[in-house]
Amino acid sequence: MSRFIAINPNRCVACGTCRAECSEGHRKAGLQSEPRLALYESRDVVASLTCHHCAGAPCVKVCPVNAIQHCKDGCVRVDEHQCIGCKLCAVTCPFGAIHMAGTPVSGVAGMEYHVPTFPASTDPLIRWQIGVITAAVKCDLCAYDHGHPHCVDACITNALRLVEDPDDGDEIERKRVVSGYKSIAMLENFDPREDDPEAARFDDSAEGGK
Amino acid sequence: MEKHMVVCPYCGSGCKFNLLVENGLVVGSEPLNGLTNQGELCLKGYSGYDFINDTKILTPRLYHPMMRTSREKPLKRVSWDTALDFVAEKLLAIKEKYGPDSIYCTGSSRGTGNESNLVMQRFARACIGTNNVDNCART
Amino acid sequence: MSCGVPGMEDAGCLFLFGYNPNTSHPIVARRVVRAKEKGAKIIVADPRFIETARIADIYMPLKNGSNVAFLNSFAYSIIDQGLVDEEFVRDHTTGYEDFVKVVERYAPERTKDITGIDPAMMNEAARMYATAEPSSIICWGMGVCQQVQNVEAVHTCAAIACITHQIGKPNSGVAPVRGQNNVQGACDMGALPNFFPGYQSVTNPEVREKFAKAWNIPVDKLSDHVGYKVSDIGHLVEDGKVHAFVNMGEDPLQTEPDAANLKRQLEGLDLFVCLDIFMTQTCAEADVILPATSWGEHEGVFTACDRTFQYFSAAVPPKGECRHDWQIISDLSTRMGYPMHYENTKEIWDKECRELWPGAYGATYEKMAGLGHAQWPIPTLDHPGSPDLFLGGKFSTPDRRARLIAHDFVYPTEMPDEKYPLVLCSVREVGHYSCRSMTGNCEQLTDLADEPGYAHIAPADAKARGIEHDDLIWVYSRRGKIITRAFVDDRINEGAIYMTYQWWIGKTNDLMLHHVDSRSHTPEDKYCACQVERIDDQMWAEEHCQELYMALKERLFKKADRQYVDSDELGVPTELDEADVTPDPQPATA
Repeated sequence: MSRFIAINPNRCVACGTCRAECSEGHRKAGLQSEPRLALYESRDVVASLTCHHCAGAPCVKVCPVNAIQHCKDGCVRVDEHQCIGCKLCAVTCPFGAIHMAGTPVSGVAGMEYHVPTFPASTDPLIRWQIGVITAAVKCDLCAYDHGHPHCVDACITNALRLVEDPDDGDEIERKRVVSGYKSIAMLENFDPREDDPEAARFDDSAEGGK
Repeated sequence: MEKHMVVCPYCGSGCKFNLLVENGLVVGSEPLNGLTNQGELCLKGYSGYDFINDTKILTPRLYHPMMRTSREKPLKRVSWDTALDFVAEKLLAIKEKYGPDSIYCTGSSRGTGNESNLVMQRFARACIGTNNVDNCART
Repeated sequence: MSCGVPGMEDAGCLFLFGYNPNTSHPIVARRVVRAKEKGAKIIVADPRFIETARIADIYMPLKNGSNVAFLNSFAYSIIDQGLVDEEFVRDHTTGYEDFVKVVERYAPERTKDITGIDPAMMNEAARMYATAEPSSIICWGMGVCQQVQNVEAVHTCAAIACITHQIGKPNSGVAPVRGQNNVQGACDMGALPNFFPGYQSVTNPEVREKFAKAWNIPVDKLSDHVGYKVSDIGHLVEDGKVHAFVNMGEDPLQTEPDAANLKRQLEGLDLFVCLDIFMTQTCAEADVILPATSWGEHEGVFTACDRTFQYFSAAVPPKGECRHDWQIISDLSTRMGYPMHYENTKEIWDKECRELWPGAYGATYEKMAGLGHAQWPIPTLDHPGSPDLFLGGKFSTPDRRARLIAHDFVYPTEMPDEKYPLVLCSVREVGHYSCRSMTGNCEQLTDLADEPGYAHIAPADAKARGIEHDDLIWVYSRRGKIITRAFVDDRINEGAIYMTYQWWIGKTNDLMLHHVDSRSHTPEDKYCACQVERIDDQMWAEEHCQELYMALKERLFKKADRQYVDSDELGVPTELDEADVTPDPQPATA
């Protein structure tokens, strides 16, 4: 079984409520407060992108300390305490759904002095802060709250939804492929049909296209 | 846990939700099926409550009246009586010397609510005798 | 608004003109998406490719500061294509001939260099707006109001709605969507220099008679002339016209343009009183600080942007010695020889609003209990409230006809030049509100967005200056120079940058021009000239930015700490005081 969060970009209004709720939920559960969803905005599309909990998740395979596990409830999860911050998963993820984050103690705690150690324009992969534990951060379908994703509840236009119906394996597999190709296309601005004629047959009924 | 119904103080939409209160602290919010928001909230509605608890992230809450008798002196904590008598006396003197139109009052288009605006405009008009009352509608 | 927010989703066409609901009102943006899904046409006219532009049927990239030329052409196009509802114009409006005389000089072909809009697109949009069934709504925000020709643009928007009969029926008309949560309420309640509560004019002797009687004072004690507008406060102090300022819950040193200059001007006050919940930058300059209760600690009524009164309760009791604003003001008034006393907000609401404003008489606390609401006009107890205004083409003028007014176009006050080649436009962002004293103290919201904020800049303008995304940059104008972060954004038009006004370090209002229009005295916050420059040493810039931020916080915390220093002998300096009045060291600027 696989579960993941799908987005209808035509409904997304880029308000960022999903990111705020994601962050707040994780922060209150003692996890990294970094939002697990990235808001991608361009002239053509806006979408909250997050982990697809891939069936053959490459991040699980590359993790040298087995901090990333494929769980029985259909979710791919990082154990933030085991993670050593090696970034291999972030590099290998085809969706850019994993990044490194560390919540500094001085970040939002009022008067404590935050000493910047890198310019903000530094690539997220090579950021490092003294004394701050850096972990790979990705969507865990809110496992801390019985796998009940807060972003889906919070979305004001119902653009986000949790796909979990085990109704038809082929249907889910098809959606996964389309969603993958669409995300790549969005991020790298290429037409998958040029590279892979197989993808074209999914195009018309693409998830989120209506 | 107590629940108290409020209207969001962050934009003109007028979303309704409950503030969740535990041990005198506001700990969360929960959307209600209001006219405009229909059970939805944006991030400010969901996460915009903890300033009430005086988090001291940006700037601290004010709990006690303070004043200074001249610009060279620092602010001092004073009693309400001292502060209000000082303001009353000064305002009366300024009104006497320069006329009622030399005093300016603002209402507020933010969290204070309609009633405080009603009282403020009555104060400006009936007590001071000026129409110099306005709100931050323009910015 | 002449319609309700829920009704927006049932309109046939939404014309968003200088209004970005996705950042200012996400819950309204939700209605726009629902309208689209129900089949409504969406037209967006905005120099930026705003989020709604993505789902718009027509996106019109007009040039910054060209609103009135654009609207005149829009009206021209309606008339030229024969889309005027002549019957409605004849029966329900006046001034059509004069209106035409102005707009006929603004053929889209003639204005295209000013507005940047292709005439064919103008004609298509005008047709889409005018012919939409069952109704169209023009929505606008600060993109109309904070321009030099703001009232002019509003006149024209209203006239466009009238000549096409896209007003005076359900879910139609004009929707200036108010930004702050209770800006509609503050205006409704008479916190305006020209109106008593309920928009009853201060220059009308009968109205003054009514209020004098209700307030138990001789009528000649009420001023018979319109007061000054708060946006002029700096100049009024400087010119010796205003000597005392009682400021309730506002932070002009963050929200008003040319803030550094305003701070200097306010030093000329004889008495500066602030009622607030936080030690804001404005409070830090006050002579007397009166601690008020916060939202969540008091109850009352707010008016939403669509005239909906809603009751809100108190969640927690007042902290420290805090008192409600209305208690403080009533007490002060009593001490000044004009006794005011109220038991609770309901008494204020009933006595000062419902009984003195006939249009709100039906808005009782009982009606607003729970999830209830009351939308004015609501003149009687059994009135259901009015989501829509002007139904049947009956307007609120003495002859019940809409007056059609058009104006000639005037360029913005400070045009870009060689030294300051970019337009600076002040906008909003979704995660913070107003001067940020509230949201900036919320952990989650601060976690998502903190100082120094962003200046959104077009990729070409960034590239020309060697600026990359997330770089810290200088932005400067004739008024000042600030540090902020670059957001290289392909939705931004070339030649302009957009900054939000919430940031205390990346303070947009240190750059903005203080120029107000002659009618409404609204600052021209959507247009001034500026320049942007890269900072070579980014590490230095990051540290500098943090230093500025910490210095500002420390100054405010130190000021606020004074409330915990007890003193019996007011004004006798102690050792601690000596240290306290020493000015903060100014962090170096490059």
